[in-house]
Amino acid sequence: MDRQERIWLGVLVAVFVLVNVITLSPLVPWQQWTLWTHPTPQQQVRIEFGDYEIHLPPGGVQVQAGEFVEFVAISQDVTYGLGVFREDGRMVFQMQVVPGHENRIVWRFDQPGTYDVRSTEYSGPRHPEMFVPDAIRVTP
Amino acid sequence: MGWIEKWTLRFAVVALIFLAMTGFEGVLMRTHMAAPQALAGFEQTLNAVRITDHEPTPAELLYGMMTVHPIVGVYGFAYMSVMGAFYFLVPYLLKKEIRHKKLVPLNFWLQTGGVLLCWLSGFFGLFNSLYTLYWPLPVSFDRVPLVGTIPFTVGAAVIMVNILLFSFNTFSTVLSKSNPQSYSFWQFLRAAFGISRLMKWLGKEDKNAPNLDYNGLPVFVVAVARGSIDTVINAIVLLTAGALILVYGLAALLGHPLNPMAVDALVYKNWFWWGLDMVADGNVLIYTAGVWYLLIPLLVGRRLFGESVVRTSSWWTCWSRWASGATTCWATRCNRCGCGSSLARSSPGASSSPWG
Repeated sequence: MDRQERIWLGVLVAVFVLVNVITLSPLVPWQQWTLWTHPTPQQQVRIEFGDYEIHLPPGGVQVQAGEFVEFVAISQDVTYGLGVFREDGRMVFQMQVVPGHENRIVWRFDQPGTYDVRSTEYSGPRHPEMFVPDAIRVTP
Repeated sequence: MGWIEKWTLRFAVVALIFLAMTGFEGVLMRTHMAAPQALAGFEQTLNAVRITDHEPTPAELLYGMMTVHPIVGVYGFAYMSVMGAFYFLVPYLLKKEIRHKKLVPLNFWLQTGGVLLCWLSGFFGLFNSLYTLYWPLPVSFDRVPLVGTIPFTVGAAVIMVNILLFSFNTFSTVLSKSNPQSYSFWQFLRAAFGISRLMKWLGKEDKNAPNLDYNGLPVFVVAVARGSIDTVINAIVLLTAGALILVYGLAALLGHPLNPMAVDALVYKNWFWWGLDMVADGNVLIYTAGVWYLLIPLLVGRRLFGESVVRTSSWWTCWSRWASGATTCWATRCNRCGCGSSLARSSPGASSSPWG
């Protein structure tokens, strides 16, 4: 391996290390609490999926901005996706909802407002119907 | 034109036809999404020959096409291109003949037949589970029609068995002792997994053993060897998933439906996706890279820049896939026993990143 090739290999290794360090570091907000700080959630929200429907807790979901919330999603039949979206359609987070398991994710909403919930995993031809507008209200 | 050149061209022509088919289907899908009624007359004509117990909804038509679109693209276009190219290039580079010549036309017809069967089951049988095949959707026959599921899984099984036959023929050709450029099975496997290089780094190099990993085989053949490992794993994993779905389909057909929850959806998903991603590495990445690493030095008349880096990076890719598979299995086990931290444990099958 000549000098130029060694430099190129060094560049590749540096890029590999740098990208991994950055994406796993606390610089990424959700990595901060998932991998580093491990806070105790102030609230737990259970959401059930089944027969192409998303069942939220009675009265809807209300959380406070800045608090940690644990979402627990359960499927009664096939695999779905729990996707939370801002009013302008941009995604906040998503996770798969695998049947036979309690699927959990901890999140912290920074911005007050209303958020939509949509199934983000294909579950059959009626999959696009699985949309709940204004499902989560985040208060200041 | 020689015998193998003719077969290579046949593979190339049919691969291009499949590419055109998948492109046409892409246009249909986009039209469906933009203006579903624009294809009403066309769909009415097709419905006359579709084997369904009801008038298909636009969504069923769209997802049926979307399911087989990548199958035709990957296994019709990409794999057939690779098969045709390798059946010419491997013997040409190693200066020997294909080891099992009868397998060449068999590979051609099985691949063509398997892909067509899958395509028919999606386009006409409305099999709409998508290529993700998340359990238990493919066996939820109230959502995915049984009449499409059975031919799809049979077609997929034919394709996977055919890929195993092709890989076997490629390995046999490289290993056949028809000339001095022959290698033992273990030498080839050591090259594929980069064992020689690893031992050299660890300071345990066997000076008497041929270091095929970095100074014996052409880069292209190393790429074939490493890509084939992933391709074989991919075929075995998809074959097991297809066989499982087929068992459930046949049981339902015979009036004795099985309980889908008897299979753990998370274990199935981890197993299936570990194997499915091998297509990206083995076929798309390593095979394609290997071909370009062969062609570019020929075209520019210079040696390949960073050949040693290339060998290292393909080794890296190969082992990272194994490491990710092992990590996934460990994570599944860990989540199931609940031994993770309160937050990390949280996600059997869940992703805390926005990318899923």
